[in-house]
Amino acid sequence: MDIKTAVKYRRNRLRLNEALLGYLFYLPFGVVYLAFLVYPVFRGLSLSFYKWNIFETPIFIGWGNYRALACDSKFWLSLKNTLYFTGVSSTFLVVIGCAMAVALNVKFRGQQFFRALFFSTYVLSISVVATIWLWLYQPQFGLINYYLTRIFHIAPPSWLANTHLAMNSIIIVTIWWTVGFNIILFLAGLQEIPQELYEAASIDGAGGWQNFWYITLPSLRYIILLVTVLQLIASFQIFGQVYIMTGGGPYGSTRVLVQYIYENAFKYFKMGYAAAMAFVLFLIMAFFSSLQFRMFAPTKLSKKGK
Amino acid sequence: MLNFKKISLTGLVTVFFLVSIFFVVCGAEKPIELSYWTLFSGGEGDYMTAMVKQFNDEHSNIKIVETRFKWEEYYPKLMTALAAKSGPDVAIMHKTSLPDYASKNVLNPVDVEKLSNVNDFVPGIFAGGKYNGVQYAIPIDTHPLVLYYNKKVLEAAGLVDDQGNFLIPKNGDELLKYVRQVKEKTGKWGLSMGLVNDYMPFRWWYSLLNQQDGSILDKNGKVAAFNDEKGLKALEYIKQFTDEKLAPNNVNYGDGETTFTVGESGYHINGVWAMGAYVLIDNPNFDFGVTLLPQVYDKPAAWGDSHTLVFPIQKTPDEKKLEAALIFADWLSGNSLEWTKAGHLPIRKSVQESQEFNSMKGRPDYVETANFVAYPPPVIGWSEIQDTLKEMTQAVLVANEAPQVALKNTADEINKILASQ
Repeated sequence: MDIKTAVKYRRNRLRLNEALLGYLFYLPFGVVYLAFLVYPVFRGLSLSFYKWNIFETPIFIGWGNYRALACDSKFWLSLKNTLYFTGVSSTFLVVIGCAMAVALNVKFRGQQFFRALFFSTYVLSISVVATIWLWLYQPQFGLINYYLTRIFHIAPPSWLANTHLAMNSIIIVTIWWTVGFNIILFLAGLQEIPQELYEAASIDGAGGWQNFWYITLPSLRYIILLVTVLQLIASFQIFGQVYIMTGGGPYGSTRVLVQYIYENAFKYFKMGYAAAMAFVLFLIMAFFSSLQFRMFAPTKLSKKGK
Repeated sequence: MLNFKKISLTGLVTVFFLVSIFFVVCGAEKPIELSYWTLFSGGEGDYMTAMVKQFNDEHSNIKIVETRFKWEEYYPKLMTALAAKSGPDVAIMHKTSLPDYASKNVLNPVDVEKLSNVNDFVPGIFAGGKYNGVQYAIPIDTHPLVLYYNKKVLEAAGLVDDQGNFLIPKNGDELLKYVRQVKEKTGKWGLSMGLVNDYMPFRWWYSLLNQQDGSILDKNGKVAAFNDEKGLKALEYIKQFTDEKLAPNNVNYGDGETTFTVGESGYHINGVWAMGAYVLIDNPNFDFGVTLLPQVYDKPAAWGDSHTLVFPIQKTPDEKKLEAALIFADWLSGNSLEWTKAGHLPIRKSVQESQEFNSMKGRPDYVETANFVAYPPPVIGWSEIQDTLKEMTQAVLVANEAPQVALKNTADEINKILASQ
């Protein structure tokens, strides 16, 4: 064996060792990921072809659950409600989050304080948030209606008891609760924009609005993509607010998919049916996420990959 | 040397013997520990916890460890635990949920022979723990719907007769009349209940259906049977209260209770379980009384359910534990006087007739309800059927759908549910 081969051999061994080490580091996460994510996803998929009441042996029924879904009016209403919630809440959460981040990026006294303040709601658990807002929305003695009637002399709205209003009330709660997270992501994105761009622009005589439109927004492109995708995924899974505040009512006007899945699985003993619904939700979410990535960066992202 | 060996051998045997005795004696004194899951909160929950403590104090050989869950999250937890055969040794279960579980071979049947004084049960109550002829559950109470009233509000509305008695509505017309009077004279709500997103309107409707001898399902439990004149009449009667703005239709269960307890409504429909918390309220605007749910139609009837004790099958069956669990259940249902402090009706004749029970606030005013409790049908899939009926009342009372339409849609949907079981 000459020197060259020996070196090559040694190098290969080192590389192999490195790879082994890498896999070793990955192992704990990999095991958990496989056991608690990959396996359940496939188990759920296979379950969706069975009729199963959790106690007895599952019965294979082919596409039966999916066929039943197609003519289940509660399912379609839940889907409609989920899409409405996702569309409206995501739009507001991205726009408001971005606007507030830009505002909080301006140097002013108390900047840190306000950043912390707007993020603070995100720290609360859903049960706390829901309980606070249940009291704020309380139709007769609630704080909001108290001021509406005493100061503005408006007939007190039934925030959570009106079929047209209830979902919007839930959306308001959700924005108040989670916008802080988006603000932080946008703030991080704003720090990445080189200051020189703004300086150059100001020399060219650009104003604040032009700065925002031609520098800030295009530079935030990837952050906006990221936030939007994360937001869509989070919004599609809405459950806690509805579960605690309205239970899906009144008259199904706030029943969302995850709640209907929950009810079917854990109240009505229909595990297979719930699994089928969960899989439909999964497909919808996957579709929207892929659409997002495609729409936003057809050229740059793929170039980066090369 | 030999001697020493002998001595040490004898010593060893003695020591071994003594240690064995020590273990046998002390082992016998170590109590059997039983896990017990409950779903009570507020006033109710405290009475149950106190009873568990009393049982533990009185029984040195059994120790009950209670775990309290919130009502909404109780059944999902119980269901998954039972599916894994790792449920508690004793669990609370509503009579209406029994068919769903008893039909799935996850509950131990009750050995009735081991219970003391089964004859003391109020007639019909004990049989409520049966499914398909097998006793799976031991009832500990009945909790029907009753009518509450706030004396302060009735006084202000002039609903007091010459002798100073409060006017208690006996039938449907009287209830409407008095409730209207509260609204006219005081500007407050005539009637309150958990109306939005709650089962209360359904429970009232079910009571009214039974007052006309109607029923939700046909005799075989296979087809919906409420989409008729009776179901419609009951729904339309309730609708008057929201149509005339006599009852707020924007309050959920908690808000409905608050409306009543702060003195903003004259009458109030709720289950007897609310009593445990109501007696503790100290508010100058609130002094409540209880009475029977008004008889709107031919015969008296009030929706009711029953808390029972069940004994989940375990991965490794333990006869001793099961026996101890039965002793506990027997004691709990036998000592139901304490439990009736939470408002529930007694299930034992001895308690029903006892001086202590009848001297408790309001009890003689509604104990009669025990004679006409209308239990929901013991059918598999009840929780989905009940949710669908709840939607029906929401459609009519909150979303202003026509009663005929709501009845028809709901009947169709329930037929679908029954067919899929």
